[in-house]
Amino acid sequence: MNQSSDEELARKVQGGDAESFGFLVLRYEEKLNRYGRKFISSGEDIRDLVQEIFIKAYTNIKSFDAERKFSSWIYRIAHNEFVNAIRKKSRFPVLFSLFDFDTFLPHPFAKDLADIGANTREIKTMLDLCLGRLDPKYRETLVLHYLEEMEYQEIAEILHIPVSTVGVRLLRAKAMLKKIFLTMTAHHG
Amino acid sequence: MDNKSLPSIQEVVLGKIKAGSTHMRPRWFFLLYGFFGTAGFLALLLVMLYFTSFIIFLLRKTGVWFLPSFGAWGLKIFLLSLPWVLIISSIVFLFLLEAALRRYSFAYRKPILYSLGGIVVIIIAADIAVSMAGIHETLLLHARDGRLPVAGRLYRSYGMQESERVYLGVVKQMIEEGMLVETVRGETLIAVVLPETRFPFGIDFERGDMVLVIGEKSGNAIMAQGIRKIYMIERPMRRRGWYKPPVTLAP
Repeated sequence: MNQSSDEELARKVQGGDAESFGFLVLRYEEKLNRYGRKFISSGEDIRDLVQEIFIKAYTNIKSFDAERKFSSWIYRIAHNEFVNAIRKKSRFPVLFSLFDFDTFLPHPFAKDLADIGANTREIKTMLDLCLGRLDPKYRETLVLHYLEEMEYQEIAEILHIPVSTVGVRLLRAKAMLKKIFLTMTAHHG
Repeated sequence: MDNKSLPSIQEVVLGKIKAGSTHMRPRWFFLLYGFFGTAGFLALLLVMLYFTSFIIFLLRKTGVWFLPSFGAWGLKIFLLSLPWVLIISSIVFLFLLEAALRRYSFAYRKPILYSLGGIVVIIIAADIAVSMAGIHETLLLHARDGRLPVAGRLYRSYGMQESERVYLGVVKQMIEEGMLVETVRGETLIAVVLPETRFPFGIDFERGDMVLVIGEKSGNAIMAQGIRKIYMIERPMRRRGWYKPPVTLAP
């Protein structure tokens, strides 16, 4: 197994070493599959989408700045690919994520607030049961934070939103998740 | 199909790279992409600046700009007199600019309010500079003489219009009924003062003052609903001398 960092491998790929790209594919294949399955949450062919993500990553690898994190860069490509897949299925594709009020105003205490109220294990259990019922933008933030275990800063870089907005989305997503979870458990006795 | 019978994603991707069906884009492609992106953004900014400064120019030239000083009543006429097509176009450009800006990390890391506010501040500062330089006045003069090929139509259709019920001119003579006012077009009108005429800045008028008269026109008389003086600092197009007291004012 190659011990080089993602960024070192990416630099080698930029220099023409295609084999190094194979290592990057191996490292991210499972993560992106999981991210896609949870985010898209329907019968899409995730394998084809993930394959397309790697093809796009290779095609555009020279735009990657090796001083920055490779994971954020490839997750950004994955985010765009998955959003396009959801948009294609949406009844109102143009309206999807056209304007998001969460990103409009500053939210100074969002991180502190988002971390109050529920523990990670509890959230993960609820996520498995209720994920498909959440709005995609909230679903994605939860998946990246609780399942992919990313920090707010990295999620913000992937979604191209302010860090404070990540906190606001997580806060709202958890509230929605709890509501859905309680409704589901009440219906099932 | 069973996934286990499929080749791994790594094999498929490397296979495509080796077969030459997937190519790495060269570095110059991204440099060019960045260059055109920035150039597009700047072009949008210039178009937006042009529209907004043109709107301000029109409002000042027709006198509509001064209507809110008449209070709620003036504000109502102000809203009805705005060039809404140009304003809506400017708003569309503002959102296009914001969307273009959010590609950059310095913009998407901050709330939209900040980047939108930044664009608005830049536009206002640039509009003040354009207004002080008298660019639109010069272009209007060229358009009027048929020497402005592309934008000439815009200036002729908007710039030479006079707002209905709003008249900007210079006091030629104080008369018993009110005052004789010479408008931009050289037309002399009688501003008839009625009991209900409003004077938000007082009644201290004299020959040579620039005034704004609001009211219905009937023949060469305006039944003034409101009259106010336009002070030197507020005067539109003063750099071009359009509103200098007419020669006919000589005693």
